[in-house]
Amino acid sequence: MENLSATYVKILALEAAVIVLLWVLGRLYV
Amino acid sequence: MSAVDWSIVAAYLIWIVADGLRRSHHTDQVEGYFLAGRSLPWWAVGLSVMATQLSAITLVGTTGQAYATGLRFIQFYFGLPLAMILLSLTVVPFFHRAGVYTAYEYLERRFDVRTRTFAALLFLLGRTFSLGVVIAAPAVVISSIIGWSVPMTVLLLSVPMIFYTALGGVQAVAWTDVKQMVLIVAGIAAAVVVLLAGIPREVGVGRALELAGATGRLQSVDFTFDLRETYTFWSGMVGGLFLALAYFGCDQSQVQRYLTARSVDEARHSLLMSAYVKIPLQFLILATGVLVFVFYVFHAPPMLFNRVHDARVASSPRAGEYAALEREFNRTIEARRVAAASGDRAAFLERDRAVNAIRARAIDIVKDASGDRQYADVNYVFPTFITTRMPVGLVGLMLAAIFAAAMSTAAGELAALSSATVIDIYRRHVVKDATDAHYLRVSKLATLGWGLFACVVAMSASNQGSLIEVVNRYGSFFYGSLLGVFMLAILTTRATAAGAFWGLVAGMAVVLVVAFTTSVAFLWHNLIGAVVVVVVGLAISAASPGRTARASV
Repeated sequence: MENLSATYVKILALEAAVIVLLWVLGRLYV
Repeated sequence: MSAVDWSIVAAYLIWIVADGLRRSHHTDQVEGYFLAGRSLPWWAVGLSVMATQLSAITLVGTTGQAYATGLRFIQFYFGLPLAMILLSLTVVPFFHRAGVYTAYEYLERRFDVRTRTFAALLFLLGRTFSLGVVIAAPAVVISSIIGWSVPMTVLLLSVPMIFYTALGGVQAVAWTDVKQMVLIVAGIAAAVVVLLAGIPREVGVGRALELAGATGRLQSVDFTFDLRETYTFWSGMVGGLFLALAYFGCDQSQVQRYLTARSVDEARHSLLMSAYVKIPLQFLILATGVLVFVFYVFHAPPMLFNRVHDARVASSPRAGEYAALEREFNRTIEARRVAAASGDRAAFLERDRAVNAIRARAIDIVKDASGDRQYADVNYVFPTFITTRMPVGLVGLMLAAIFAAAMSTAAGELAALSSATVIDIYRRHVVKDATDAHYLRVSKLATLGWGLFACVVAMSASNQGSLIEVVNRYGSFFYGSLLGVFMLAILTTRATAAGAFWGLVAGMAVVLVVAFTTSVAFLWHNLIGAVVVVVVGLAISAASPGRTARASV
């Protein structure tokens, strides 16, 4: 079975980045 | 609707049925019918998973919700990427290597036939009614767009879908899903372009975002920890995680998708596609709703988007009051537009609050005059925008996209209902030793039968708005508990058959009590159900030694 550890890390990093961006968007436009 | 738009919808329906039927030539065995011969590439399975999950309710209801309240709903999906990773590490390899047709088949190998049958029946009970609603809810909205009666619209949506699903099986469902998913994204992209073009040049996108932000519509992340709040960061991360684990790990409509993949790795990649794409896609859909709000700041909207009771209101004693309110609404909308264009934030917010207050009063009048206590407006916002503001041609494209969203979800559920009925009930309990050709015939009949039953449910459900909520709540009753049983099956060797069965019963009972006696938001029910099943299941297993070895797969 293929080792997908790097893919998992990328997915979690991308999600964290998206949440931070959404939070910043909400802070910028109040 | 223009002849061009009708032609586009008709062409879509003919194309999708023809494509589905083309696939039916490869389904001369039960494995081909239910699992596409385990031959599909990861990207097709991934798109099919997403198409099944993205219903017409998501497309129409979510944009309406974002129009009214903004981006908050996106938090619902925060747990999904982690769920996909956990499932690709655990459940996917287990199911694939076990060579099962349904998720519940695995439960018999690990525990006993009682737990398998109970889980399959729970799934069948929940999904039958949800399939009816999945067809009924968009049919109600689409009927208002095309001017057909609701029963006729139900048939327009269901008959082609039942036809290609019954004849082509999962192969037809998966490949039509791929095309439908592309159509849905193209439709949303077209709507976004029209919306952006509708923002006055002197205002610009930056100022438009400021307007949306001023009304709180860009506040998407709420870190408040409150169990009664439906959409917060925590309910999405924890409750949403358990919901996604249960939905993608134990619901046959999803499990069946990734069982069609060529290999374990392709199945894992298909789920990870959702992990990458789901939140951005959902953001795009919600942002579309926010853009519709901004669009209607500069282009006068109707007071209410759902006009289904117009005639009743006009002939009621409150007709004069309603007409006066409409005149006040038009004046306030114009004042809001002027304030927005001039950049006067305080005046804009004051007028916007006045607009909302007038709308609330109008809804009260409609409810009073029509006697329809379930009357709601949000699901009609986006369809109204499509039919009244989009250019000829794109209306047809958007309507085809809504059809695609409804049909792909319904087809996936229909195929899942049929597989659980034939594999977990008919082949296991009714006729155990028949030929493959016999089971294939029964499978096609089961698909047809469930499809017709769903049509009947859809036609009766369309009159009862509250049924949608009932079905959603019912889904949360059993999702968490089913997840708990699969956790007992896969994560520990200590659970016994008795522990799993009574744990499942206890989980269902506790969630039922929590749902009806507390105000805990429904996303948390999934966590509660799973935890109770695991704790009770392990406790009973410890007290009653039995079959505990993990099934070899």
